[in-house]
Amino acid sequence: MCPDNGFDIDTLLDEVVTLPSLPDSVAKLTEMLDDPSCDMKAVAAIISGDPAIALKTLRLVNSAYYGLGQEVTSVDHATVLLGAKVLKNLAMTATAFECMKTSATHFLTHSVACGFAMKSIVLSGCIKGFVGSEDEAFTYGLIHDIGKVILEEYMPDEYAAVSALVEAEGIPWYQAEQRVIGVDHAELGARLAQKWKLTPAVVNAIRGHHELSKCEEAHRELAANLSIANQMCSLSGYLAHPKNTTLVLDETYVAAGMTCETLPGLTEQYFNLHGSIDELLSLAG
Amino acid sequence: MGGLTLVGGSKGNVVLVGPASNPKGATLISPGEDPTKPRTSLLPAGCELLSPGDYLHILCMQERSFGDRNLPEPGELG
Repeated sequence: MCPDNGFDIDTLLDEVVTLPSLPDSVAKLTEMLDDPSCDMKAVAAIISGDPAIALKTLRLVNSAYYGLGQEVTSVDHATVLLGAKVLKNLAMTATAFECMKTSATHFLTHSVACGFAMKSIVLSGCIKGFVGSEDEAFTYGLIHDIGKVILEEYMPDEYAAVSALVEAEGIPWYQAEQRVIGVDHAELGARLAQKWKLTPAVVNAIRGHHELSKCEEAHRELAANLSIANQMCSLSGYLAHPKNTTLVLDETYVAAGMTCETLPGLTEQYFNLHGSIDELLSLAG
Repeated sequence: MGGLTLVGGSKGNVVLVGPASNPKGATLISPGEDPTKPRTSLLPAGCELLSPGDYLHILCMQERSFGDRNLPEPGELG
């Protein structure tokens, strides 16, 4: 039961919610990759030592989406073929899927679609300040709503009340969360990203993907693009919740550096990736 | 066909007849200088009158309604 005026984020984390840890394997991998001279065999050994992540990673590597054209049967082989950074993204994707494995199909579909939308944005060159790869961008899109998974797990009654409020008043989901719980999924997701030691840019982008003002100035371009990716998914039919509405202000497009001229190319990229959604979804379970 | 508010505040309408890949897939009807003669322009040429959010909505609606990539059709559950 929520206090009358709702939780603040610190009380929620102290008293109600335990954020899931990043698997040791992925945490160690992240640390190792900070060292440019890291040993690739050691990288493979770390992932191989975590059967759940290793299995999901290999399924991702062998999916048509990655299109390697040959069967990869070991993590060592995957490391040689893809490189450690790509493997880290795959392991992070596998971890996110593990967290979301009990989520409703429409939520999973929305998350994967948002991953593809972010990938499209990077491939289209729309984020000038983004130095990561399109695969990293995919992961950020995939996990942008992960705070919802946590709220739903720990506060099922309140979450049902959020859904009812959205349906009754037609307000955006995050605003209903703020009214019912006091904290929204964007803030909770940002705290999770912090715990998982993702970059400040990603932490801020997740925190600000509904309200740019909650994001540090330096990271607003990424947050704005994540917000637009989220809207693109909803407008193309992949809503996180059946009654959800997304509201993206004109100023968000300005912050993202996106204009009408860039949109046809961007949406083509995104629509072209649509065929891979079902395949990745099949790997999420 | 759907109505929308154009950049500058006037009202306009968009008529969708095909996917975005069709150069004549969408037409924007906006007020002309002569109020009795509305101006029509094909998209994307007329997109300077649209907010990016509205244009994104139009592009997604074109694909969902007329595209061949099997996006959920308008009206289907997201």
